[in-house]
Amino acid sequence: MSASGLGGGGKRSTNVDLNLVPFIDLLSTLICFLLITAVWQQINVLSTNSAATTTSDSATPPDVKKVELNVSLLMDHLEVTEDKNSTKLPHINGEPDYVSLLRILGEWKQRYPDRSDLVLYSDSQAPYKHLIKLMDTMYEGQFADVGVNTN
Amino acid sequence: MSKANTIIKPGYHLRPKFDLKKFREHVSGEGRKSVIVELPLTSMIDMFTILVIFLLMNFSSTGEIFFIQKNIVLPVASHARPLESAPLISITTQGVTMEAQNVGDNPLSVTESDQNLPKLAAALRQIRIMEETIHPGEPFKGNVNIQADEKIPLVYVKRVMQTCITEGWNGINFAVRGAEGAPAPKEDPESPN
Repeated sequence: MSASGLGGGGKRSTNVDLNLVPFIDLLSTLICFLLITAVWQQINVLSTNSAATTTSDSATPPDVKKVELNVSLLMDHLEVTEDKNSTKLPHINGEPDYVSLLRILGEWKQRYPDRSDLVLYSDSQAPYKHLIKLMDTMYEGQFADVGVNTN
Repeated sequence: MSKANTIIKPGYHLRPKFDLKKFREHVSGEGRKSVIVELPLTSMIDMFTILVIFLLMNFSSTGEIFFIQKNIVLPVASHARPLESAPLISITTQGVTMEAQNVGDNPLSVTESDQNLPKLAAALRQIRIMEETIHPGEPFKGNVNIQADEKIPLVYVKRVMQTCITEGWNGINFAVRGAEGAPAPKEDPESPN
């Protein structure tokens, strides 16, 4: 704050203090704004294509050549079905075997690279978090179009 | 003791031209202490800057307001996409609420045949009419966000989903917590919504 005067008679000081007051004002305002609008918990969504699996009044008939890829969440095991072939994956410590499921999804993806649709059936008494974790695993296995059957 | 053997403390011997009198007085503590003490602002600005950077990194510009009920713990997912604005349905073991309005009770034991939620259906119908009035000519998107506790049996969720689908709300999104260290969520172009 020691800027020299306009006279110019004396020797000008080379040490000029920066005026920090507006800088602090700006930072204080910015901090207040950011604190008020801060998001402390990130909420995301997993989407489902339930209409394709539940409603029976769809106008388009099902494709006869299309291989059915289903995963069923039951109370003590998963049932992974590719048309008529079914594989049982027992739960590990009460949790579905997500690793084995991901491996099977990878095999399906290699056989049917164009497919991203899958139908997920579930037992009504299974916990909701297992459904979400299964959907998350399917997304990870590049099956983004997951239909959840509500029957 | 003779004068020749006396040790004399050396005095100040700089020439006056280079004398830093004020500095010398300050170091030796002889000078008059100033009453006006300047606040050290550097550390405060450092702290402010770090705080601003941290808050800017956490800043979200989506502007979505999402109310999570106290008794609901959302499940965690790592491959979810960002939340979009849509009617919010909350499911607990006690009941079903939509936009903070009670639209159905959950009895202790719900069977698969017990899919009837008339209040929820009426509320969804009303919102649909409102949306179609506000945006005439536009196709109805039918997106709805569902939040439920991670331990709740799926039968409670299924009956809400069934009601939504019956009323034409096919874009059902499950609200989840983003997993720490998960890949950044992105919009899926192949998403049905």
